[in-house]
Amino acid sequence: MDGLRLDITLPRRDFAVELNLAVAAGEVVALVGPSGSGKSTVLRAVAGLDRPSRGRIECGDVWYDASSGIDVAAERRSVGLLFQEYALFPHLSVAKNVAFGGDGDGLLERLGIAHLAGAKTTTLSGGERQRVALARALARRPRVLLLDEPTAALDPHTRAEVRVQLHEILRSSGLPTLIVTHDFEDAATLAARVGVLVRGRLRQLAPAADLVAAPEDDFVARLAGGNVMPGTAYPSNGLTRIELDAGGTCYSADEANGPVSLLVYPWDVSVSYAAPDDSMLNHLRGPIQSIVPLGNRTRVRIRGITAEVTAASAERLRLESGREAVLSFKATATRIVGAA
Amino acid sequence: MRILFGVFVAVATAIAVAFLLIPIAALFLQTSPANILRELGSDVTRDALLVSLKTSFIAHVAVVVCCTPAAWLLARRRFRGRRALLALVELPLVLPPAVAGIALLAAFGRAHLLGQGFEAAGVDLAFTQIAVVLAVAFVETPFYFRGAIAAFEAVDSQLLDAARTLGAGPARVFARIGLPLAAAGLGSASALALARGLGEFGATIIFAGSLQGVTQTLPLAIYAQFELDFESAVAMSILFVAVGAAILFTLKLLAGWTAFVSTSRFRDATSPSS
Repeated sequence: MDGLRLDITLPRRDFAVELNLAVAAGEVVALVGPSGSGKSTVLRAVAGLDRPSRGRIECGDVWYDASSGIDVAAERRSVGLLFQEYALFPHLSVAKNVAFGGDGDGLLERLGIAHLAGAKTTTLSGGERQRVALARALARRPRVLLLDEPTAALDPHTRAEVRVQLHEILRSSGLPTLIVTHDFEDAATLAARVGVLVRGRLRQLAPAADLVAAPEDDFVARLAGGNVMPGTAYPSNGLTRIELDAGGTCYSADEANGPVSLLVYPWDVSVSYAAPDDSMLNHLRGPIQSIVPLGNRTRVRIRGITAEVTAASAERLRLESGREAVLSFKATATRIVGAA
Repeated sequence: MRILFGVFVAVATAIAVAFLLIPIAALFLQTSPANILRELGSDVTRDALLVSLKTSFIAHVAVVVCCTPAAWLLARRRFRGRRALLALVELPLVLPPAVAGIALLAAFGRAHLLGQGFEAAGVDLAFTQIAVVLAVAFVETPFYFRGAIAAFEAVDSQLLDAARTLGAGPARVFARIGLPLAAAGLGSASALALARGLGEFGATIIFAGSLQGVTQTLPLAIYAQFELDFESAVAMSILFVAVGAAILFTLKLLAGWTAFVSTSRFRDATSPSS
């Protein structure tokens, strides 16, 4: 099994995607970024559907090399590309879809869709469509797997389930896999390394846990799910005091001076009606803007800051929209990050 | 206001439908079934019908075989001069049929542009059945071409990309994905073009003449009979309405049927209940 190596420039309308990346065999790398950051075009370039203006793509063989004029046609590259909307052929059955690119024997069973072999693809649920598309891509016996927003077309319930299955399949395939997504959770669940792509440039490339723990800047922090609060930092008794632009004062254990962004993750923020009398230094008061239950957790938004509490404590607190509440978090739970 | 608009739409629809149906109904009221049957047996009618069917069929097959891949190219590829080519394809639509006939004569007639070459080879196209085929093909091409391009443009390009990444070369992408997904659109374009070809009159009479049994198609025979015997022209017109309607309905049905079969076949074959 060979790894995928690419070093390409892809001109877009108002910026160029410039990416230098190596994905080892059996490794999963995710590129995360907002829509329009040029993620999908990277996959299309590897598949041979878009042509870079410069650079080199190789996966065992050289697929593209601008300097020597090599540009292997898409149909000869053996990539397994999973399209965002899955791109199943509507006039062919599930079995015929899977067999289009190669021998699909065993794949339908492996993916638990054997009972759908004769079905029309238009009658399938989102999760089923995804598995058919995956089976079809794998039947091609690809040398690399490319997944474009693999869970974006699914409803939230199916999404978590599909992530688990997908993770299993990607691990057992042994192929270099490149995923693009705007969903950090997708990336964190599926990929060993996550690259943050902003306007065509790789801002930071690291394991998801490292992106969360030490984001390069406020953009990466936000993408990783953090609350980012701009303000001005002043040293204060061994801590750092931050006067938030939106009003209020917070303390951080990180050192800084001048304009900064204060980062705190929702799971480090607690909610109460009265400021708790404990070690937490930071308290921000305001009316509850929204309450979103997510399975066994509940997301509460106050002053634009999201706190994630257990469903049980949300129940105990009797959270109500509009009611005044206090957000609390420790100075050691915060990070100070630079502006992008 | 709402009621007023409803009434307006209903009246407008009634007028449009009546305007189309009254002349056709009048045809049937002009003559008796016995007369129609007698007219069908006449040599002039039989010859004209045969010439019409034969030339239309050949022209139509040629148009479909040539224009389908050409429409695929124009619909899927972006190249310099594509817009100009698209406009050019539609030019015959706005030409009066007489102009088309003169143009064909200028191109293929004896002692003209290409005709000289043909003549040297001992072939004279003008006023032969081949001329009828050329005239019919010339006027029906834009109808089929336009429809076919639209049908191919409506195919989701992501499906074609998917087919390529699955190892399908250009020919397989066309045959397995492009053609079946555009089938319904191609079928209706084909029906429209065939009907237009069958009704061809102006270009044919100028370029091919009106020789009974050779170049006299049904529309030309109707015109010839109209001067001699109105009732006989009416009977032939009715025949034409029948032939035209039959072709149109068959092709429409076929188009709907292809789209239906191509998506439901496999389900019937292995559905769990069967």
